[in-house]
Amino acid sequence: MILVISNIINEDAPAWVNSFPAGAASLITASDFHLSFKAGIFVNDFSSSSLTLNGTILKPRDISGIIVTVTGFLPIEFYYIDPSDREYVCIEVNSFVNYFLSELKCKKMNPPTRRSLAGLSFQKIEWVKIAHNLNIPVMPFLIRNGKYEYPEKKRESKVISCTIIGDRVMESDTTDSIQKYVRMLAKTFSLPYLTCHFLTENNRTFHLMDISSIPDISNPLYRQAMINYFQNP
Amino acid sequence: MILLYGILEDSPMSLVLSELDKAGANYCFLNHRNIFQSTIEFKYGKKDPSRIIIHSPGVTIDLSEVTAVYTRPYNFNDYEELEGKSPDDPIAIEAAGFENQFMECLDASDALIINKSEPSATNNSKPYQLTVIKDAGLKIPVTFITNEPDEAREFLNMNTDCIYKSISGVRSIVQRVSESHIEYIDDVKWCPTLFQKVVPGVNFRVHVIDEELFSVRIESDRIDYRYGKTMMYIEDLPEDIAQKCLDLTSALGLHFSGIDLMRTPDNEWYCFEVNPSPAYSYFQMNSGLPISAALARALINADRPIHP
Repeated sequence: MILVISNIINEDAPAWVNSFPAGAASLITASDFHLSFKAGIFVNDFSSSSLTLNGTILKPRDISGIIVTVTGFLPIEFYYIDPSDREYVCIEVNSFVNYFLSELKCKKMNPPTRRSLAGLSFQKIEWVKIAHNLNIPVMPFLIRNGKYEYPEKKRESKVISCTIIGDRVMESDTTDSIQKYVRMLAKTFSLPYLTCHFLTENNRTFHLMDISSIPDISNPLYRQAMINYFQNP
Repeated sequence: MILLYGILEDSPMSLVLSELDKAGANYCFLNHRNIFQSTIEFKYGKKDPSRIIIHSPGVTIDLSEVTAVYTRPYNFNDYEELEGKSPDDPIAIEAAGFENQFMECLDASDALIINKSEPSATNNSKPYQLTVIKDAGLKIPVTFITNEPDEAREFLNMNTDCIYKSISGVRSIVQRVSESHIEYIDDVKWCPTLFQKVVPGVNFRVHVIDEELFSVRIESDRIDYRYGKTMMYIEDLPEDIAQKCLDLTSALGLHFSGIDLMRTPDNEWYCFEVNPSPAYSYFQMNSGLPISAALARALINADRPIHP
């Protein structure tokens, strides 16, 4: 079974999960967590834990892949919890799901980190340093108390995005250098899914501006590539 | 230069500051209470070397000159400047921007940071941390997490003496499960709850600072000794357990840790959790262990500057 972790705002999630054969995929959101996810987890022996996901009884080994489209759950999603306890329940569920996903031995898109259910433990200043050390050009910036400015960004600049899923670069029409940079970063971060956004003024030189590890499940080509990733040994 | 970030009323901070004074160390104290008047600026250019400059009342710090940092930030939402204000008030957003960027710069640095935020975050998921503890070779208590009332009842029937505590680091007070709690067991359906079989024995608290280790035996009338009548005695750990504590701290990516151990009557050693920002002063003052001196030594001996 493929486990998809998302939120109710993402309308592509239920549509996609419903397109799988019965029992082949299951969607978990915070908004129905108390109904869709029931578990008895033995921390000392995780593999013997029991799960009921949307009514299907299974063991952790029955989960063959996970796709996470949220960095974490938000308190507002736990609408069924008394407002005074909502933030606490949200923190507890995030902590629990982070642990649960970490312990699963299946393929993960992406593996969770302590900071994010959707993977990538690095914040911008950290990954800029890594990209810089890999000789990947990064768009110059100034950050003051968390607010970014891009003094060299010109009005005519345009953004080129490129995503890698497994070992497949999805935008095959992008330049070799962009594809090389995306592969290098995905490999360095050990991420099976990574989107990089580059800025260019002339379609010849590119500067990395942002990265994202959250899978985009609205794109049918991406969805198929994700399924292929999980099906390939 | 050593950078200290916290508040002077915080004993762990004031003790290490006093040790640095005694040693005549070159340090700078960045007062967390001034967070609403502080700015941090990081400039990344194509050619120029990156620079991080902090301005705070009375101090300007170039982080490239800093070789070691000890951080004990507080929740600035509790400061009087934010009294009656919402978390999305502009001054709260500015303070959050400062704090996040400051920690981000520390996380990206090669300097000695006690402690970086990513390794510290393991304490925010206790079951995750327990798996790291287990992998480091220390025993962990029988631990069960559930949001199924029937599963909770079954576990508690099979394990009659249990505690419950939070999965995250929030509201982290250990409570023994009693009959009155069982009446409300159906409430676990709203939130996964962590139950743990009580391990009988004697509490030990260990502080690891890189390769140095300090341990005390604790005698208390409460299961959570922080809230009881408590006495502490300096006592060395068996060599293999001490080594596992050093390995565990290293495996978690921490330079400073507070480790809670239990020695059973059968002389088995269990580990409950690791605190990445230990309030060590409580243990130092009750036992006389020179933890702040070791912490100061580690900060003084660090020689790799922050280089984002």
